[in-house]
Amino acid sequence: MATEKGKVSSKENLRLLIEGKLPWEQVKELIREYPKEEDRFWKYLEILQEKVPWKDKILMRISDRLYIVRKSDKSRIVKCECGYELGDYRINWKLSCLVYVRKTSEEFAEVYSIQPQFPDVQFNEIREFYCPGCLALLGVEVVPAGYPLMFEMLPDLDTFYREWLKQPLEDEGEEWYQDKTVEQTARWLNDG
Amino acid sequence: MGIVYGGKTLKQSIKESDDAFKRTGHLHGLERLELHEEDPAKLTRLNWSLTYGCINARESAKLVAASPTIRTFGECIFMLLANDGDCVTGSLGLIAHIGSAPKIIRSMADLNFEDNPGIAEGDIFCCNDPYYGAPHAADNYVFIPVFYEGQLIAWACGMNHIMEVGGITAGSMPTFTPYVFTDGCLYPPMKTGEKFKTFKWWDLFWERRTRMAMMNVLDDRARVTGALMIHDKVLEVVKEYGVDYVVSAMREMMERERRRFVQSIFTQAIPAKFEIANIDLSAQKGMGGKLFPEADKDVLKYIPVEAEFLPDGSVNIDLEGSSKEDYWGHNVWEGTLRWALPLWYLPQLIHSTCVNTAADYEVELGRPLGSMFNPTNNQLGVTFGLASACLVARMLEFTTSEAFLARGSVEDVFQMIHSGLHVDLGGVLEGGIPWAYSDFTFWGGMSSGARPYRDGDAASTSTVNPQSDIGEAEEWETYEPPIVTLGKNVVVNGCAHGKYRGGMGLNLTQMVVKPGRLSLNWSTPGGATFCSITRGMAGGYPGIGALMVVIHDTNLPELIGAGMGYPSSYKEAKQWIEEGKLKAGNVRIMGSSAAQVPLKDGDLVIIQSFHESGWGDPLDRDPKLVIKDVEEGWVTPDVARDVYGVVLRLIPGDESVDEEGTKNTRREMYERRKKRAVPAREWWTQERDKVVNKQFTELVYDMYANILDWNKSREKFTKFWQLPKDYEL
Repeated sequence: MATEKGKVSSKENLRLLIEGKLPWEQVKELIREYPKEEDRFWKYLEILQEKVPWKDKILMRISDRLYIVRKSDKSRIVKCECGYELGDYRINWKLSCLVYVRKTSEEFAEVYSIQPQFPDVQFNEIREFYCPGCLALLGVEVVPAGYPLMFEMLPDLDTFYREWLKQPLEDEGEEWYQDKTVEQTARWLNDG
Repeated sequence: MGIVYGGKTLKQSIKESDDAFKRTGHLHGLERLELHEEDPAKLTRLNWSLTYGCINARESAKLVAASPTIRTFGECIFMLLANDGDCVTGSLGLIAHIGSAPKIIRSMADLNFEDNPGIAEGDIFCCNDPYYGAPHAADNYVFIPVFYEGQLIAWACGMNHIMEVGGITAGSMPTFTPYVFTDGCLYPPMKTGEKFKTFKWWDLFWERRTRMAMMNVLDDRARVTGALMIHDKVLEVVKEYGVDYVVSAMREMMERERRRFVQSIFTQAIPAKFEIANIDLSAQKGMGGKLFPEADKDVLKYIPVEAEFLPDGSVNIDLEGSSKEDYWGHNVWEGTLRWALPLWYLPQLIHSTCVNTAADYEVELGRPLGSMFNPTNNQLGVTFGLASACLVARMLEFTTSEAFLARGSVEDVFQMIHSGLHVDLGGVLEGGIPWAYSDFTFWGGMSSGARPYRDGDAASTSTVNPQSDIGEAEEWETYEPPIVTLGKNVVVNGCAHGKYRGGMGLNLTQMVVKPGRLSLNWSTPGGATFCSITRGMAGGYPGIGALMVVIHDTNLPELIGAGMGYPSSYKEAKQWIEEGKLKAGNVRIMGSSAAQVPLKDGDLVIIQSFHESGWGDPLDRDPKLVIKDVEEGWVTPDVARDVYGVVLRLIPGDESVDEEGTKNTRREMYERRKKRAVPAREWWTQERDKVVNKQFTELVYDMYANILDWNKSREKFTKFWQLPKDYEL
């Protein structure tokens, strides 16, 4: 049965989708809907803002539990759903986490269940990044020791809001779209 | 006076198209789609006539072929190209392969084929050489120019993956291939027929240069058949709509689809930079020996991807830092990389069944000279270039999914790590018949990664072919006489974990029966040694590569003869060996590749495919989903407890979640996280020390030495770790 355009992408359905409760047949209708409805992002932000227990304004969701928010001091930071703040969004949020590194077969076997079909300890370590606030697992890397942390996504928020959404942010500036991760590690080195 | 409709040469026509795009940002300079505006129904009708013509061509061509890859999987595609080579539409099937076709046409233009050998009505051209745009030796293209009143208006194209390429080892993708001379029969663009008839010498070429001439000749006929059908369809459509209309309509279709790609980026994604990488082991040590000492080594193959979605909706992809070109089969020419891009943009961004290459114009590729993605030596091996290119597409899927999540297009988030899983067998059967073939089971049936709202699916998809099919065991057994299928099933606990788990890995267990002299070759980028794609999404664990096991010297024939059954999975085989029921001489467990493994009667050949990636924290997984997995037999109670923290009451008939037990177990697991982990600064300081002192294992050391040879990746590496300016490896 054809669905009237716009109904399947209601705010309620979007909420159910985010919660993992929207029936698969309706998800498929959403996937097939083209183009997406124009107000999708705004509906999304509303639902997310209602979901989180804190009041800082969400500028963008970047992961399951992580958001870029604007603080009252006008800074833009990454914040976990639990409320823990992971610093300037231009610095890789993993540098604000607790880190656990698995190095042995026994440690790998706790999270990869089939032997011998799991990463070779000769070449790999498994890095787990936890939120210091709620201890949620926020990210996993499986890489050789010594590999720099991957900065998964740096959004160009100003361009997005100004050119794509036609609603510029009030504090635009070129400096917002810069990767400042190495400034953090430089501070760590200098502070000793 | 050139051959192209309007009087230009092919070279001029291509240049004109490119210049128009550079000048206006629209394909063919089309700022308006006049035909679409004037009569959208008429153009839609034409569009679908052409598309269905391609689909019909494929369905018919399948019946001409003998190889099970075409007949069972439909591992082929039939395309209509514009006269400048762009793919305007195509059939179902191997959709990625639209990406290479335009590059091959452009090669023919650059090679001045219009002058020598000439391009005329009735000509048939073929190519499979990556240097000229094709993905690799196994993927063979037929092109038939479509002329109307002496002018070139289009190309009809048919391609398929053949079973045997005449390489250094049997099958379609030789495991060990340092040079094009070991890759198999690579041929540049060639005229292989005229007056709509294949030259006799072309059949002789397949007979003398490959091990499965019958299959390959019939595959060629299948390609020609389908291409001819498209050729005739175009002329039929020209009769109805007029040649001007058809040529203009094809151009408008391309510009329409380009706009669709950009529109998708604008409405579903965000402008951003992304970072991801793939690391896997090229295991060639022991294979090269005296003949190829330069290739006799293990190397960590490194592919970093920096992608950027730009404000204008285009995409930049930078591969700087990648492993250098080398004596392996992983060298990648531009056509092969362009081949891979539709694997990403067609399912994720082009919401159209009109497959086409318009999006290529909006994607810039940074391929550093001297890297595996832009070799300086065109004699280096290329067989697995497409698998590495496929990994780039997989990584773009991750990054695009992250953009989707940020934008709110949650439903479109999708991840998959599978890039190919390949088994070749070859030798001489009992009775003296030479035989060679590729087992494509796990190309046609793969699992998918988790999404932000549901688990991945098992055996539901294919990296390269949306109309995938794992194939009928009986058909495969007909073409692989010594192989009998004992089981196709799900690998218990075979997923990467998360709030939503990855699609379950798949097991294929086969027995070898009186093989004569048969050897097995196996290769998969991202074998079990690595996670392949090096990070997960949102706290989910990254998926795991595949594994192959061969168990030699068994008593399986006797067990079956005595009515005692057989193991149908690796898990069962291991259990039977432990119980003493199944005798096992040598058990070979192979990660990323193996070459020329001799097979004997009674051997067990077992593949466990990729275990796909998870999404989110496993401790956030709904216990109801965990118990459902246990009830299905997909996840065991110990994994339910140890990974997900879910404790189950397993009283038969009354299985349920022990909620108090689960709460306590999860609390303990959070406590354990807190106890084990250190602040990132502390981790960084300790790790930096090891990096400064170069405490790396040998292959890792070499990988980092390569990274330091490229400017951008050097800066990234040294600045992250705050290393001295003169740091070298």
